[in-house]
Amino acid sequence: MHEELVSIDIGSTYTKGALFLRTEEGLRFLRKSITPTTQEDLSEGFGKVYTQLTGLPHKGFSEKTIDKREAKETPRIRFSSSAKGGLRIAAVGLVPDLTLQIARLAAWSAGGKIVADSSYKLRSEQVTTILRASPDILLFTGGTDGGNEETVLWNARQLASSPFQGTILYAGNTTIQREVLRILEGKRVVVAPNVMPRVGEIRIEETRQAIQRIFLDTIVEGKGLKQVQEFCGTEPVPTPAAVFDLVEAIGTHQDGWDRFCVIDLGGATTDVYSVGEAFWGEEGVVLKGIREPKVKRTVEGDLGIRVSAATLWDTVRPFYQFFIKCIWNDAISGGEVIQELQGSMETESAVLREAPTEEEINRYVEKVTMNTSYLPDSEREKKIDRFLVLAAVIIATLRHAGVLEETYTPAGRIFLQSGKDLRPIKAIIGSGGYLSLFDMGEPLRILFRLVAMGEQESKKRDDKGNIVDFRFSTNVRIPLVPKNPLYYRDASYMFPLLGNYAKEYPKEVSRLAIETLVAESNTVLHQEVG
Amino acid sequence: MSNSGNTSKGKIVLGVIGYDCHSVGNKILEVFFNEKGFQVTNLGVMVSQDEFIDAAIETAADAILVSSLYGHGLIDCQGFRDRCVERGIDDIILYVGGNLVVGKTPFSEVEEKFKQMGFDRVFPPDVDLEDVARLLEQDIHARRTGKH
Repeated sequence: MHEELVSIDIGSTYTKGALFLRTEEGLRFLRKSITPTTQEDLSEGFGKVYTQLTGLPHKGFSEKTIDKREAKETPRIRFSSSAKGGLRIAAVGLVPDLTLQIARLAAWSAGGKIVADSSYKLRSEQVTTILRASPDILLFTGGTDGGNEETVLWNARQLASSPFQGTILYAGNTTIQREVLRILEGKRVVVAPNVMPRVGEIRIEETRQAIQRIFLDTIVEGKGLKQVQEFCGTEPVPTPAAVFDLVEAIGTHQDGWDRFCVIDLGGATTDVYSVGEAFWGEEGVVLKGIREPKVKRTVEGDLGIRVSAATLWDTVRPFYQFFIKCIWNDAISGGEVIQELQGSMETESAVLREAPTEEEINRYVEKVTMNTSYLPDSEREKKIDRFLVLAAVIIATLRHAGVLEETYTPAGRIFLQSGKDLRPIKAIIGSGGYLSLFDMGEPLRILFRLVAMGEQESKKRDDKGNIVDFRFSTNVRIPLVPKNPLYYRDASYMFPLLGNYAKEYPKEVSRLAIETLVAESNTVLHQEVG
Repeated sequence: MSNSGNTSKGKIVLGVIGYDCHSVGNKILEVFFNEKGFQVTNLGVMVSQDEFIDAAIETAADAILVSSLYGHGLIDCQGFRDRCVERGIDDIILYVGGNLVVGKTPFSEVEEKFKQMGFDRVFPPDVDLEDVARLLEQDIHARRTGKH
């Protein structure tokens, strides 16, 4: 058996492709190709990549060419599309920590990003906010099966009388599904099973599939994607969903890869994927709220190093003191940074003299926001870029991770956990631009350690002034970020391309994904991991 | 967490409040009320007021049954009814039972305190569960027919 497989990813800036060979031994990478995405007609760039990979003609995508492509002689194709930076989804739920949170998890796992959300009863203000965010899909949840009807029906009526034009995906209380459908008559409505059939029980797979279905129906229109679809005889997958499938396949089929994260940092968004149990049932730790899924994705639309540099900087700015001390100088030459932080005021001020001021970062952020393809042209600018990258990764990980809250009870001290515990994560895989180019293992480990440090450190700092108002370092909330992860790079940016085949050949694809990763150079230092 | 029965006598949310981790009685209650034909959502031990209320909203429960066995029930239950009112389930039936306070306070006093806090019924640890089920059925019926 020798089968060639073509995989192409149509991104917002580049169209990338790879040719693989599948044999009994598994999957092998043959070659790849890249070309700027042709925005007006996506099939053009697609065709170019296809030809470069296979040597076969594409010549546009007229009816005639499609006929010429005989299934026997040409390799199979799978493709993904980033679709203007992702699916825009509005999430409507009942209780914020229950159905609304599960709706968010479902939307993220399908490759969407949340542009608006609402809990309890929809009022006209919320409807207006949702409309203003112009979502492609409104994910409508609420109530367990046989549970709440009143609020859910109320919300259905609000949506029915709103001018919302997109698709409404109803995945709430199934007992009143028919009634909801009747109320929403005239709207474009799709249904999926309840995301929370019983309290605390998460069921999101069908909703995830339904979202991808809607993605195809709405996104494929126009811009030549239809032609590509006919040419390939297959439908596109949203790029983040392809990566999600791959991440899941790695977690399921590769030994030693049961606990890891993938972080994809781009100009506009930062995506975090995690694999591993959300809660480990440690002694003295009690889980509050829902148990999050084993494979989880979050996307931060406000954290990026170009298009979203301004919103990233807004978020980081209040913690400027903390970040600058940790990250500057390069943050990060081994464990010395921590010592420096614990050291004297003079050392600190020495670090700060060298560091860029808030004003300087401001100017840089303005520059890259104006010109989003800007590349730093001095050592200093490179460092500011690195500062932004590290800050984005830390904040995105903090948002993805859960927290522990220390509490004293009659039975002694306990910890309440909410969200997902990333502490046992063994590896972080950096994907996308910067993270796939540079070895970020050491700085990330140090930053995670600082962020998770907790009370004592933060109080010690208090006496000396400075640093204390770093909100993640108080005793009551310990963020559950990775404790001591190794760093790997998806240096050849293969993840989306491999992800396109993750559903069909999960074992082969995930093995090749692991083999193409570049490990840190100094792994010797971190034998304790495992 | 479990539900059962389509011809249910009512939907209830069960749990042990506060930092109390007595789980055996909680399991017994779950099995008992399920068998009696109630639709039970059991939140287990160490449940906060908001978690009871969250679950009651999503399931549209008729009643919340709060257990407390470690003597701190009074503090844990403070403001429970007010919180229900704040969160829009004003008329939910609230029961509480267990070793509600430490010491030898007469039960009538304990009962009075909890009733002032808005609990509909208060039970001592030695109550016959059959009685509780019967009262619960009555109360739920009254609530559904608007006599609560």
